[in-house]
Amino acid sequence: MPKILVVDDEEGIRRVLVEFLAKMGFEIIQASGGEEAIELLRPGLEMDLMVIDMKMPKVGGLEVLKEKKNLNDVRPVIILTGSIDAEEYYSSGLKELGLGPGDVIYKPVDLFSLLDTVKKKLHMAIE
Amino acid sequence: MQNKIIDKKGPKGLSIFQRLFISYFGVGIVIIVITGAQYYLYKQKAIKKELKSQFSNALGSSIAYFDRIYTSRIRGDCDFIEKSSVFNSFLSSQKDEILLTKPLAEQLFLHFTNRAGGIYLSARFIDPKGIERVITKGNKRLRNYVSLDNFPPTDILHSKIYTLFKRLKREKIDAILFEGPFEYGGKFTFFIGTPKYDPEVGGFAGAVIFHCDLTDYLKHLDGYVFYNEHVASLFTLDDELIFAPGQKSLLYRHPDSLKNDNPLSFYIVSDTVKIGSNNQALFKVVLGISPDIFHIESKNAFKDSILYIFLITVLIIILALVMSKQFSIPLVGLVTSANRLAKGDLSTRVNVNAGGEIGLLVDSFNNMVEDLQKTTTSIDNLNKEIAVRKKVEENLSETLKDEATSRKIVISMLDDNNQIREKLEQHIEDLKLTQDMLIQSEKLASLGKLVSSMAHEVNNPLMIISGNAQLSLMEEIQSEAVKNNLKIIMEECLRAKNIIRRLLKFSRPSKGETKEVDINKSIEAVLGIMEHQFKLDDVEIKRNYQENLPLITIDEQQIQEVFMNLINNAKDAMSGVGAITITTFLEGDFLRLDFKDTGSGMPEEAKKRLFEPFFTTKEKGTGLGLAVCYGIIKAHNGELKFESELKKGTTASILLPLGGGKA
Repeated sequence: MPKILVVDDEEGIRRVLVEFLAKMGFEIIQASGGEEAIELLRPGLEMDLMVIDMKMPKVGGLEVLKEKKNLNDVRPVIILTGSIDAEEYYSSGLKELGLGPGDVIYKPVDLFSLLDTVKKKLHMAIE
Repeated sequence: MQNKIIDKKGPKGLSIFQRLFISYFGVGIVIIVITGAQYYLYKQKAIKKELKSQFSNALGSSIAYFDRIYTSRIRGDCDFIEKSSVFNSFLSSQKDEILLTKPLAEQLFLHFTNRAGGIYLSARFIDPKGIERVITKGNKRLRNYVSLDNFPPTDILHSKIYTLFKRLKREKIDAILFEGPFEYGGKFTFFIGTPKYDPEVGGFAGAVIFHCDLTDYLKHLDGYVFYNEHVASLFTLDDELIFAPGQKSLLYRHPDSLKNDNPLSFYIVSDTVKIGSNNQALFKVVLGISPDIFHIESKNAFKDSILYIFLITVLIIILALVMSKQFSIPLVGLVTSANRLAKGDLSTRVNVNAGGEIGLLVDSFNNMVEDLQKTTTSIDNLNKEIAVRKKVEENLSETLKDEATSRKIVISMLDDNNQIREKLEQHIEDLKLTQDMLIQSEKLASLGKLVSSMAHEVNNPLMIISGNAQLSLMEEIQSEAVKNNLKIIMEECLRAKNIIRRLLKFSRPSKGETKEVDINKSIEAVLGIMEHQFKLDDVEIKRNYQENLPLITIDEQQIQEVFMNLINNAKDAMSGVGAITITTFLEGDFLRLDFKDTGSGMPEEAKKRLFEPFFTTKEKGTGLGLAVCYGIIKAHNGELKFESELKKGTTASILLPLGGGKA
């Protein structure tokens, strides 16, 4: 089953995501912040998709995504954020990293629609 | 005051001051032209004179110098050719002459070459046996000489030497060679050489070369650039020109004729000096100066003259100003006083010190005014008395006037008072409204900041709440009631998200892009989304568009949000049944859109708080709709207003400026 890396500083959110995605049959790796995520990505963590928050203390989501790009890591990403909304996408710096509005999901989210996006990213069949 | 009078034009449009100034200035200019021209002529003469005297001085010392040229024996040191070091030492010794001898020769050619490092002498001759020989300096052969027949004719000096030697040989007299002046070894020199003919041998025996140092001579002409100019010309005893340095062609002319019409275009400044050897005059030297030098001096003189003219002109302008002013001030004073007098001011006096006829004029004017004042005072007293009597009469008749008239006046005054009061109240009302709007906009601004920082923090807890609710829903052990409650939690979370989104939008300045749109099409696009639902709800949409409205530059997305809000409000006001009439038309420079509903209308309280955030009359409203609309329309420099009548309905009107509202 595909592996998903979940990066969010709020434990409550991580817990919801992990529980839900695990229930849906995915293998989950967690990171409680940007630094931890980078530490995992650098040695070439085995995973198929990353779900990441934007606003985190110390190292934010944008920094992690920049580092990921520097590592020539092209594995798919879903940005799950409460800190920006759709209109702020253009000033968020995501566009410059080659990430489109379709890569961003805004909190709070219907978990099943998140599941649809995950499946789409992993080219899996949507029920 | 005085200035104004000065500006008053005379019969021909000029003031006294201007006329005086012009005449003084004119006379001054004539004087300048005459004196300037004379100064220039004087300066030119002086230059000529000075130059001549300088040359005369120079001449004195040069004559003495030329006289030093030696007489030398033809026979003497014959070793020159074999020991060329003799020639070397001659050049470096700066002696005046050297004797070049050689074994008998049919022809001898001498040439001086001015090269870097010094002057070189070379010679070619053909000895009696017909063998051509070349004189060399040291071991180095200086130059390959051609034979007489193809001697370089293009070089002036060469052809001159050639001609000279041929002629002198024909006449069996000494040959002459002349070159210079030029700079050599820090000295200004020229050379004259004469090959010697020996009757005993029947051919040339050698040459005498005179090496003339002109340095002292030129010192007398200090300050002039002579080195590239004509200085000296050489003539034969028959007054034929042999050589004029710098002259590009050989002209044989009589020196006297030079003095008259300057065919060589230089000024002769010396008498003829005869120089020669063996006490026998060989040639004449004439000293002259190029006209170029004179032109330079002339130019300087001209510059001086211009400066002189400029200074004199400034002086004349100042003088003319002062003199005109002195003359015109008393006159201007007179004019001023006369004007005052004409206006009835009898206390006026001319207060100027002036002598002569003008002084007399000022005095008699003052006297005249004094007399006039005295006479007028007595007339005035009479008039005053008459006036007092008249006034008393008038007062009497006034008091006798009808009482009814007075009443009418009082009533009309009261009416006026009422009108003023009404206007005042209107103004106060307007002021209050403006103040309210100001407070409103301040509130909105500070609220915006708060909302944007807060909104970010609320989404995360919402996510956790809704996420957990969703996870719980997935468990299978719940009762229907719990499931329902969990669904409500989820829905409410989404509603909160929606509120936050709208709050964010409201608090953030728009970054939207503007474009030219047809406003009718814009409304249609909104109706396209909403109309289906409206039909279900029994709400009718009536379109009353003006066709061919001009395009308007707006942020279409924002404006459409306003439309959506207003239409939704209209629908809500009608409790879901009725008609909404949308009218578009041009009103002056504005495009106007009216959204008229057939609803319940607004109470006074609602009208006042219409744009206040969080004020709502709806059960589920956020109270942000109209506040957002207001912000959007303001950003477009437009206007949003409401007219409402209870139980009849409300009309919301948007006015958008045609001239491109949004910055």
